[in-house]
Amino acid sequence: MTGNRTYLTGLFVLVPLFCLYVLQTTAHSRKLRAQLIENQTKDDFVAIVSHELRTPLATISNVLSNALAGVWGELSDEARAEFKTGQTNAKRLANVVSNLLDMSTIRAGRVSLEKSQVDMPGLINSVLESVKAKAKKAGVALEMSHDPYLGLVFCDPEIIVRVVTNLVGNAIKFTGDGGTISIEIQNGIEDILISVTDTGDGIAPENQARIFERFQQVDRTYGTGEKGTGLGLTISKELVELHGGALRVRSELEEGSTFSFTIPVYTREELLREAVHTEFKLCHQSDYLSLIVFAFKQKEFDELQANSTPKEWKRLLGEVETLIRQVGRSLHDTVLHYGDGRMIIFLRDTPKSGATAVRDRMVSALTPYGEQCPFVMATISCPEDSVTPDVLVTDVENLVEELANG
Amino acid sequence: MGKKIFIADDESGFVSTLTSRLEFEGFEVTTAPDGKAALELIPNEMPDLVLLDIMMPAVNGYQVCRELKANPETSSIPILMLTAKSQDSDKFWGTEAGADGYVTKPFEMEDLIEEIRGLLDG
Repeated sequence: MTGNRTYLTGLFVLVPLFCLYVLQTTAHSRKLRAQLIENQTKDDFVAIVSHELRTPLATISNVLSNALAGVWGELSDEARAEFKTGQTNAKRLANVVSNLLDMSTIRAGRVSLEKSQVDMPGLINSVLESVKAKAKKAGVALEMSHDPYLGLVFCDPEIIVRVVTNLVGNAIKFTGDGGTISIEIQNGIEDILISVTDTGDGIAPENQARIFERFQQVDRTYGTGEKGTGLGLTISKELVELHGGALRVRSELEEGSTFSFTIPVYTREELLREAVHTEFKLCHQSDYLSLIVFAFKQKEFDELQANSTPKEWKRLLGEVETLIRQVGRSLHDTVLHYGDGRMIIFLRDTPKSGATAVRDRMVSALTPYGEQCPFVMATISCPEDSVTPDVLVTDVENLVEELANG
Repeated sequence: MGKKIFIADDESGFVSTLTSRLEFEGFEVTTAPDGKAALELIPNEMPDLVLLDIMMPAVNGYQVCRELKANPETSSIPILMLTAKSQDSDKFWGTEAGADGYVTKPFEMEDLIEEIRGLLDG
């Protein structure tokens, strides 16, 4: 009897538990499937919009451009002016479409940041170079200044170029003839601050929050009379936020506006973690990520630093890095500076065997430098050596110390 | 004789506007409405440059590009991909397939012509 009762009690407990389990798993898989369909729809949306809007737009632009080029004979001045208007509007529409696509790509979480250590003043100079002609036409002067000791900034250079181009472009638009735009880069404790200040008419306090909303163009006096899409600032703000930073405005009527954004500064450990996770997201064809660790032996490196000028050993480090990059297979391979005389080279989609071959080639290319300052190189791969990205981060930290200290 | 340009794209309106302009600029133009026809015609036509759309029925642009680059007779013909997509992954696959250049629709006609002339001179 007791046996039967135990059996029955067991059944009473087990059957509901099993039902609960089945229900939960179906609910879970349904939720998963719904999520998959939703993501799929978003992806499709981006693909459909890009193809279905861009192709007809390209055809319209072609017709207008052909007419203006005289493909169907010379145009009268009147016809030329009308076609020009058509072309300007087609261009505006093309901008709206590509901005909408950018928005939708960001919202769908499909922007993968390709971060590397960036020399910010150099990057901003390249932006200023590209807008120089536009600024000159608008009669606006461009200036840049920065703190003397700026470290490299870990960010996606192409995306930061887009943000700065947008902010400087807006500033040119809204600053009248004879005005000045100043770009400043400042070191903060937890982040680096980049600000774009203009001497335009400023934005009324009640409008300052609205300008970051989609399709908002508040009344500002246009410098060059050019009309935007009303999406630029929204996109810039989201791109900065993807980096873990913030974009803000400070403005006073009649005085001008300052748009500034921050990019976080990472500690060495955070940087490595961030780089490993970024590189994993960028692996296109596989889940393999290999790292080559380069370090000068600490004792010898300390001696070198003591016996030579900073300029001399920086030149040595520069030459070593150039050789490493040359041997690295493609431009996609990231080189991370991990303290003085230490570098980590990331090889995407590369298993251990491939990484070992690349390391051997690097070692032989660097042999001449070994006399000046002996170095060590080792490879570490995920998943062969370290099963997960997080384990990889810890293993690399230990490996660098081990190598440098012999 | 002008240099020969081959256009493979399934959007007939787009192809006709492009053809008028390229002929006006002094090129000789041949076209195909899909990837399959392009693969049949190109080895006979032996154009100086191919403009290749990515999203085409039957055989897509990447496949056409890969086949042309694998064939020793056609492998040296420069290929310019025309695409309505602008995602990085598309550029990645385009480069993998061996394309020589990339233009995203809509483009400035002047830019495309400059790109074509650059590839022909190179």
